[in-house]
Amino acid sequence: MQTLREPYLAGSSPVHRLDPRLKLLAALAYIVAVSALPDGAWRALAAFGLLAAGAVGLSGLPWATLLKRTGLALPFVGLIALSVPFVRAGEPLWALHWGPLALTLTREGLVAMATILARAWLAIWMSALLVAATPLPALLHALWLLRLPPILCTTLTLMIRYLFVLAEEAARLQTARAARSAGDGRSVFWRARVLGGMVGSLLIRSIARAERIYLAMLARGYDGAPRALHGLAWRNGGTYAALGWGAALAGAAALAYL
Amino acid sequence: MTTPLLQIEQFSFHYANGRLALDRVSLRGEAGERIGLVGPNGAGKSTLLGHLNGVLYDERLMQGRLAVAGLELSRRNLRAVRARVGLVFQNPDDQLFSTTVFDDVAFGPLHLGRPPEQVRQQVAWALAQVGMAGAEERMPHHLSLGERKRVAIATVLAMPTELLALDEPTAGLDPRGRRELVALLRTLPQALLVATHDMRLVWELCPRTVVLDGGRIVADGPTEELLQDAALLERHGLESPFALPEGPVAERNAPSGARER
Repeated sequence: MQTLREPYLAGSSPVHRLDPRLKLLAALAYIVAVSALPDGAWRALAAFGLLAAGAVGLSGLPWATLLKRTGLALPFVGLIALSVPFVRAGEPLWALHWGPLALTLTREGLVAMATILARAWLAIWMSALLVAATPLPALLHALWLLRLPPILCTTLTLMIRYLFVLAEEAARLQTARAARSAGDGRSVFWRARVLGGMVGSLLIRSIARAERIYLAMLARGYDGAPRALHGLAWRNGGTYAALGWGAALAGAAALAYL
Repeated sequence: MTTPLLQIEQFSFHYANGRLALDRVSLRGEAGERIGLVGPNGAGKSTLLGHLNGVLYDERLMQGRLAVAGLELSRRNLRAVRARVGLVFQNPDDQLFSTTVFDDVAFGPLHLGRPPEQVRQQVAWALAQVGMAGAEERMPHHLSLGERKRVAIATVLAMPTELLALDEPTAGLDPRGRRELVALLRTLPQALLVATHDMRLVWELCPRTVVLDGGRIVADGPTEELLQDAALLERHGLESPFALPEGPVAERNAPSGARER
């Protein structure tokens, strides 16, 4: 039975041991910096790639696993990037005429597409590294400590907690369906209908569960004000790591303008 | 005369759809007393437990009186009552709503406004009570059902409870998990009100039994007497913890005329 797995991969590397707040901010800074690069800044993109590679190397996490995870997110970006070469004005390279309609591929468009793909892929690498090297509860604590509004923190906490419960429930429903249907020979429409029923039943179960959870929270004194206890001290090594990372990001970004 | 820990007098409750869930229930319980609450499905057991803690509180739908440790159940007293009554839900996945065991056990003390150092101590103490010391950083979905039930109990032990209301504590546990849970419940100093279909649990744990059927208390007395009253149990859809059908299984199940081949 396939159920949801956590993205965290245990380890004891310097990346794993870093303060989760610092990791979160470092990844965010990287993503912002890489997103701000101009089109065709290949040298800077390569430098950012090296930084990401260095961080992955330092974390000791398996490249193949991370690569697979970045691949999962890429189709969404790819779909958007695909339209860019045709809408960006510039030197035409190739045109498709279909009656009064014309589709023109431009050189500037191609460069923009390649840049968007590279930027997105690097940002996804960094996110994949962040969640692989930091346990989810630690990330949530970091968000609390970084003053994300408590209501959002609570929402995220409940979402993460019940995502796993929901995934198990879905897996059980799927098993029940498989047990009562002989093979997969039925039509797409039949399968779509069964799937629709399953989604509906999951939704209803989730609503009922939400009510029970609310009662459980009330029973332990919940009054609408989210409270949590977090205490993480900045470690000094963290400051140096932050300074080093900031300098590296600035250097890599500067390559785009040299 | 001292006030009893639990005082319920002529307490009735209607659901919002008008159905009567509890019908003039009267029940008294002393500090440290362990009471089994049995009855068929839909008898109102879970509803009664919910009221002890005030989570179903709604003046328009309630009549009668309910008090815990001398505190009347009223809008003003809700928080104080909730601090004294620990409600343990049947499904630990409903009770454990945080991403780590620590956060979950700390939830109650934090919402009582305890200072951080005290919260930490209470969490460590409560987890030790249920044999889950050191599990603070684990995530609930990594725990077995038995472990989750223990942590669910720890979440209420971390509060200054005097009465624990447990809904089907042994449901879904294997025999070993069940034995461990019974042993744990025996060590608790709090009064227990245990709603269950597990008659053996009642026999092992609770000297007193209350039978609820159709929202009314139909029997209240020593477990030893009630659980041996076969007619009473039969009338209310229950069965004795010892009753085994007579004769070996194979004989009873064989179709007539097919006993010998």
